[in-house]
Amino acid sequence: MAETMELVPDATDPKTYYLNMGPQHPSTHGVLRIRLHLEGERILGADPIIGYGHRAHEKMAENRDYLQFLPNSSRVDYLSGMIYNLAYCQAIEHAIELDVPERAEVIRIICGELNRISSHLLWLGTFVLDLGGFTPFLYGFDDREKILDILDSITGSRLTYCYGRFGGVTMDVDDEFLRRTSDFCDYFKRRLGEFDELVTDNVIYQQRTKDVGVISSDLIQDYALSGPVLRAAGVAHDVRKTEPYGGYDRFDFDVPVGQRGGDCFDRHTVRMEEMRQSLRIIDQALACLPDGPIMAAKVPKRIRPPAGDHYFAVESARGHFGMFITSDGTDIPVRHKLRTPSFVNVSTMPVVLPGTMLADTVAILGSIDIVVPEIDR
Amino acid sequence: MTELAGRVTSLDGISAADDDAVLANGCQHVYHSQSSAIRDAARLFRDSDYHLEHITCLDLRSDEGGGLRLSYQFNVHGTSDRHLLLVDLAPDAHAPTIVDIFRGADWYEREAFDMHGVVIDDHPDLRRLLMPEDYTGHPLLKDFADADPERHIMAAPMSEEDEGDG
Repeated sequence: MAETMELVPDATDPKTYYLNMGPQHPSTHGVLRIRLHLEGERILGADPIIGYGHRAHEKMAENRDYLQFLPNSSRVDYLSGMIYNLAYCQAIEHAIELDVPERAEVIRIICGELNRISSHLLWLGTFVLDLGGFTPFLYGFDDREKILDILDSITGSRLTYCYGRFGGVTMDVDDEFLRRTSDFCDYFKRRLGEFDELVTDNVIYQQRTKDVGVISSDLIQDYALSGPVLRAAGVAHDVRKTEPYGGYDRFDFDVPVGQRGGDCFDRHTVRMEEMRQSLRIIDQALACLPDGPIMAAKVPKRIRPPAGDHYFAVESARGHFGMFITSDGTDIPVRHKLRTPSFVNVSTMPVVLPGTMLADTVAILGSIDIVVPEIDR
Repeated sequence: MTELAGRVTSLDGISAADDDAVLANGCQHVYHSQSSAIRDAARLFRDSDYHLEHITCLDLRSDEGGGLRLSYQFNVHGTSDRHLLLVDLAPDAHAPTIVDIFRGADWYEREAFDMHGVVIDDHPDLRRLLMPEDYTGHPLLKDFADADPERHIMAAPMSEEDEGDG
């Protein structure tokens, strides 16, 4: 254990040394620490040290009933809190076999996809910022703000939403919400073209990301990668397609894949395309939003999933988010495991980083879009 | 029962769980396994292009018995086909590593060690994952009590004199 803290050069090779990147490094987007073994600026080894943002969500879940855990769910990943919050509701509905009215399902999809765009926008802004480009950050945050305002108008919160309920959603959407969402979609379609001109076509950006940090297909099975990282490596896998939940099978959308073998630029293009696909889904959802109730008629007062294991997965902005809930038939779960995508993606770093340069570490870490609280839970 | 499920149950120490007795909502196949059979099963899933979705440790100890349990969940890309392997551990809580079969098992096994105190035999680097390295105890055990709660409280709270010149 003492060995891991040693900062003096490796005794056998005086040219190498250890460097702690983080836990307060701006490019680690939170409190992640990576212990790098370096020779000059070349990385020989990398050991992510996590747990600085550990808040014991899984322990909390074992000490309260299912409803009381609901506000925790969006805190797991504060950048796509809506998706995590709704995922938890869907997991419980799946476990107790509760049907959700169609209107609530469509509203959930609109909110989830808006949240996915806002999460990708924040990723785009901060990623380019990490690489030294300041301008796209301001544009990204400007557009993200519009989404936060829209979601704020129906949920009352800006980041850590608690909008879902077992059996539906808290509040109905009004015409104002629908108009603003539709306006945003029209606006953002044009805006994405500007982002392409500003970022995607930028030569410096391309040189910083192309052929850098290849997370190739041979790691996929080893690590069970998911989300944009997986799709950038060329596998068209999306939980929304393979296990359609919450009515996603009613909508047309494509699953973009990378063309260059899974480098940082691939992960960029996949996310840009995902935002376009999210807009497509929202457009369809707005057109077919049915009238009707937003809550199931009969929601049990006490939530008691049948004894046994329940697994439910969704596609979050970062990938496959699964919840493994073990119930003993009482009000309180025996175990609530959160299988989070960033946890998996960061665990590949000891394999991906060695051989790259220190400056590329920033690009690679940024490109997998980590959210540290979601790694640590 | 699919062809793969048949091959899994034909391994020594693994039997299909009775559907009526074990509920695994969201998983297509459930098995009970001896800890000695985990590696064989993992190799079989590896060769069948399956990946490891997660390993979850559960504390099922109670007055009637029971112990720690590891749940291994395997799935494949394309049409979802989840296989859940339930491994009830002996009281000494030892389990073999599958890091050499699925590298992604590394952090899950370290997490099981950190949070539940499961000793993963032959793991190349078994140290705590989330808790500080000098921490004692395993927080996700049901009978966990913080050995030294004082340690986690910050230094003395501000006194009235401190607030004066602020």
